[in-house]
Amino acid sequence: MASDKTLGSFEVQWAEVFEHAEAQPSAQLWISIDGALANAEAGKYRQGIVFYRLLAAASIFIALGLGTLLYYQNVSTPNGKALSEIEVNNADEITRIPPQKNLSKETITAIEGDKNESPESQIVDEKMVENPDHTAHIPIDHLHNVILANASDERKNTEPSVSELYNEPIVPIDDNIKPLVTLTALKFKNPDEKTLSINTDIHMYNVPLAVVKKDRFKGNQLWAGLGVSSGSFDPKIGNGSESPQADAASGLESDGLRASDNTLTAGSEKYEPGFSYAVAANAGWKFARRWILQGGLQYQIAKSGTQTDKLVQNRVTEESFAPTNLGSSFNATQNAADFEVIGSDVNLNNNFQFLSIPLKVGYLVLDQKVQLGINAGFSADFFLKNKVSEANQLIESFEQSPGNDSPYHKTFVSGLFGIELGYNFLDNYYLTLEPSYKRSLSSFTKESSVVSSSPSRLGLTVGFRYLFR
Amino acid sequence: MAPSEEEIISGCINGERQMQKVLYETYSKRLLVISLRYSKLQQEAEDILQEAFIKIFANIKKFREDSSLWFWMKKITINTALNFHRSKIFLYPMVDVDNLHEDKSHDISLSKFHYQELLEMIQDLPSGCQVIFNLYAIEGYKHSEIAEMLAVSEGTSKSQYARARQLLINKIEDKKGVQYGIR
Repeated sequence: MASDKTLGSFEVQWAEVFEHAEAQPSAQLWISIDGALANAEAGKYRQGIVFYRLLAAASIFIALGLGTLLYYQNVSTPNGKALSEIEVNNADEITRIPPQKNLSKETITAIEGDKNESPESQIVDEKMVENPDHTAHIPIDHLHNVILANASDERKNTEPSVSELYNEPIVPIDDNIKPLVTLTALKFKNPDEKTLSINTDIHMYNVPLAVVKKDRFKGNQLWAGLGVSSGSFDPKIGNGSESPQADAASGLESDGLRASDNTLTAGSEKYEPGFSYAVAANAGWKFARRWILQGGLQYQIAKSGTQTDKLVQNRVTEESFAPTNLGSSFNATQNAADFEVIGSDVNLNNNFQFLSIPLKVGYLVLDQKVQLGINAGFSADFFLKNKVSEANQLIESFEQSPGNDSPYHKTFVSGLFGIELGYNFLDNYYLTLEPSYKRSLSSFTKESSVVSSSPSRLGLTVGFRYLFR
Repeated sequence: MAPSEEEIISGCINGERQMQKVLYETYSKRLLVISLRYSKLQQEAEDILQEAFIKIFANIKKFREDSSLWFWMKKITINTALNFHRSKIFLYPMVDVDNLHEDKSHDISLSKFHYQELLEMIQDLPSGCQVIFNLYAIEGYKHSEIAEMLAVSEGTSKSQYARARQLLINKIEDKKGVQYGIR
């Protein structure tokens, strides 16, 4: 501004007249500003919800991607068997068997003896081994824990042959082709050790593989855990059996404030989704190799918004209410004729509290150190209470509890679906991450309510488990 | 006990609606007069003030406490009003006058007028004149600054101001009870 310019008395007088002048704005102006601020805040709220949805979607994507990667990393044998399912054993070297053409075969069903003592089992070490009789190298780097059974007679003279062990002659067909004995099973002396089944169909570089499938299922495994989750909450409120439009059409609504039965009518409403937070204690039972049954107890706080365009005030008590289709603190015994509309753009915040008992069945797509599972099930949800407040304190906060006067059912049933990623550490502990979706299958609101609600939740759960072995 | 200005600002930064309302109630009456000076109608002025307050609440965290909150809010309100009327200002032809002769000998006393009467006179001015009169005579901007703010030439600002001044003198003279004085 020009502080140094020379103003005449005409300009100075004008400036002085308006220096401290005041004019009273209309009452509607603050309501409009308040509404605009509430809309701006709701916009930030919506951005937060979008963030959580994107986070959940990204988690699902990462879980699926990681699971797929881990799954295919474990499939590298020629016949598609997962190498991760092959058991660890000690070994020194591997011997290559000549191609199996015109070979006579003899089957030995079992060899009694310690695995380290058996001359017939040559076990793989994690290195490249050169076969002295053949120039080919056998890559072993990826063949962890593989037992290779060799029954050829290409062995040192000091080693007993299979035929010697069982006093059965192995007769060569001709001088150039040596007989092949195929092992179908190896059994150890230690009764705790498993029988090694030898799959004669599996050959790697013409070597039949004897494999022990890794069996992580040790029968009736139980676990217990804790989890916390957050996510979006959408009350999904729509028209119920008695919609406001239907009321208007039937002439029930008389003047926009009072119905013909002298009760207050609700204004035009919009419902905004919000956030939810939950803590849970749960337990699970692995009842089959890849199947899990799990249940628990969950406490959940869910927030949502309701925008209504009607704020009424009792002329006598000067108490303000926002009559909505899902109830208000308005006492029905009061005479509706005593009320007048004093404002619009009321933003109500709903704070629901639920207790849930989920029951889920899970299938483990991947059951290694990293687990990937798909869970589905049901949840019995118990409505505890809903605290309704108004950001600008235009109305007094009030609580809705389950009961005859409540527009909400005390219990409702929801369907659950989730993809769970777990990481096993220190043998008995698991960290889990589960993007999940929950949707009520029965109505949250009572049939008598003007609107119906089927809440849904998209969330992300982080959990910790202890496995009882 | 009424909250201090620091508490009000802090509350507004934290998005506390209660404090936002206190700030509104403290300054809205004076800011409305500013809006009215740049408007033709009450509703138009309230629309400007609403937009100004939303900008104030959105940007209050940028307010430096070593400056005056009132002047900061006043400037936002004036800028909002200028943006509101920017398109209308240029609908009116403006004649460039480089050296406008200002008749300073013809002094007028406004002491007998209520501000609302004077406000109505300003509101009756053509839009371009109204804006430039407010900026020059009441806010105290120089013509060069006004020219820069409104993207017009300095001569246009001067000519529009001269026109506004003359129109206002005519209106004042037409009113009963006008007092002339020589300073």
